[in-house]
Amino acid sequence: MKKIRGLTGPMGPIVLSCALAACGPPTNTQDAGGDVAGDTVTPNDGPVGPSFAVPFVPGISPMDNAPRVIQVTASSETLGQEGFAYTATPAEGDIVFVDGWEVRFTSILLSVSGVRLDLPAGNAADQSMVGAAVAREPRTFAIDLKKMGNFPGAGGGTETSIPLFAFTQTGAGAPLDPMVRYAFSFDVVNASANATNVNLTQAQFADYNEMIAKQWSTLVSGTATYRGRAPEPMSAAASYPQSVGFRFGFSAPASYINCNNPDNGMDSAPGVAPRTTGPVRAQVTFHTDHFFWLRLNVEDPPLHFDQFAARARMMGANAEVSLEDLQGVAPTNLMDRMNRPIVDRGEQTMGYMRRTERLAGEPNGATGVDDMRTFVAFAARGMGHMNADGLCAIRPLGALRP
Amino acid sequence: MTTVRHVLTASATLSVLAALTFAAAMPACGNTGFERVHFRASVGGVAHEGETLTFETRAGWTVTLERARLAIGPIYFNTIVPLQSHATGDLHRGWRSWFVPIASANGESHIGQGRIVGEITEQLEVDVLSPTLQTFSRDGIGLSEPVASVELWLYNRASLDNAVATVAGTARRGELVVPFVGQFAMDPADATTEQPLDSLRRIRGIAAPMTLSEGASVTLRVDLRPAFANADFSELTAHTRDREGRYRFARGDNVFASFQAGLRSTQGTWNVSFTAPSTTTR
Repeated sequence: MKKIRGLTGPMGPIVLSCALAACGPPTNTQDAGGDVAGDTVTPNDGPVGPSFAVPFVPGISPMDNAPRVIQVTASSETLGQEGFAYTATPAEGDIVFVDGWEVRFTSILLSVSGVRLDLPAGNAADQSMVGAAVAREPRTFAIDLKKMGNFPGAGGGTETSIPLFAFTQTGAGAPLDPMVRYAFSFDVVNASANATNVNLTQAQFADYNEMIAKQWSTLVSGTATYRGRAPEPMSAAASYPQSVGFRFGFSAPASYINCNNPDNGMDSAPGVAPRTTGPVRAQVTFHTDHFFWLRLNVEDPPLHFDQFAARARMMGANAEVSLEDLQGVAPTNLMDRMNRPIVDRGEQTMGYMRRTERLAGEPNGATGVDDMRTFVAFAARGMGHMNADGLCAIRPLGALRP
Repeated sequence: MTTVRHVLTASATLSVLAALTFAAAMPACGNTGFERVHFRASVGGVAHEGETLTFETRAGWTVTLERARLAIGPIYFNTIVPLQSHATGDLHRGWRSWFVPIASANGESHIGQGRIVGEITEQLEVDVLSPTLQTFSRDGIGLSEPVASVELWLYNRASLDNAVATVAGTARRGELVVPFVGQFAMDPADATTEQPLDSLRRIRGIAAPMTLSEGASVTLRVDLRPAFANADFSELTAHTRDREGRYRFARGDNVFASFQAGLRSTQGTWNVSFTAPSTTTR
């Protein structure tokens, strides 16, 4: 994951798009989300069946070289697979928890559905507009994104990607056209017993069944370990655990539509065009830093974990925190379990300047984030991308719900 | 009334002007062109009895607002559909999300850029405890093109003690009575790499489905009740009172954070309505 572009002024593309709107040819557009609701997995309270244990065969390989093929994979990138190390002196572009925490994931469970190609709409002003449907993968995939895959990750380096399937032709059976840059979209949906198990082990079936029962789309778990400066004796932070197991489950179903594709050479260029010389990739990418944002609706805010550590429960010798421990906690009034304000400890990390001494969440115009549970879910809903950093238009498919 | 055009970024102003100028020349492109229109815009508080506004908060406080003045403007009209959170455990908030256009946003939960097709470049100081509408002295200008949302840009105002908003009131919970005062001001020191000052200024994505037309009226109603929904006023009692006997909320406490979040909220605080022109007026 690299730093992505900041917000630009609201009027940047105005002249070009004005020209398109006024004089452009009629476009055969459809509401990209119009038929999406029907694709939302029907809630199923039953657990997964025997078919869930059948080993998944993606049918694609990094060695494939067939032309006019779009290989679809999924990845949580290096930060999901290896976690977030902590250093007080991060290099430019490094992503660390400024309040001194190291975070490693145990599992990152998601259900990906409705992966599809549409014709481009050519509407620069509204990324969510796509043209006629071209091809659609019918399966819903249950994936543990913590695990490695055998494809190289789109972000480069050591990261890997988990193979899912390939688009080899249109829904009508025609070969994919290398002259067309197809709009690439996918959905994150609530867990379903009908899903195809990509890489969950038997030991994880209980987690996935819990996701089905609670109608969660996402379940992420791991361990955070404090590696920062020792807190002042007698301070509130001194009472926080030094190691916290976290487990966040919630529903934040959404469509990720007409994603930008960094492989096109421009961050702002959506779509994927098949090649005549070999396959191209379309990696469904999830950025795991979103779970730890405290500022919404801005790009790449600094990461914190103290809002969770301060609410952790001691379970025997271990400290644990789930979203239930954040119930009723107003983002603008973050308090620890002893009802003390949480101090922003971010300034122990070079390059971070806190706005106030006290840690607070900033909804920044986001609505419906009445407590920290929905705040986390809202931030996480923006985690879906294409080929590392390609932004998608996001269309919610249901309520944010812990 | 103060014009704020001079403080807009050059790129923003030039882009709007370029768009409006360009669009004005576009009707030659078949019959899909849009006309340049002028419209009135007014701002007021929500309807209620009396000169103060009393309400209950989610946190269990009874709040009476006794003063509330805001600097409103500039305002831009955008084609982009506003985000709908679908974060709806509450029925009163939830039902609406199923009837308004579905959200579309760029990657990091952002509302897309869209296009600006109308603007009001003045700033107006408004008593938002009064439902009486105050009208901008100059008409807004725009294109006769569908608008989906408006965005407010926040600028401090000298007559508001160099703040965007100032409020005073009394909060009560049980035996505890907390007279309070406070303000929200744009502070360039809040700008960061990931959230530069231009971004900080904007409240984007306030739902406003309308098509601007010549002689139409746009009304903005300001409701500050959501801005105190999560505030715990008891924290203020650790401060010293000011000369009026009020506790001042300030950056760093939860009441300020709640107030700021409320001002920036795109649902609840700002309510835009549109009235088509009457054939008997203008």
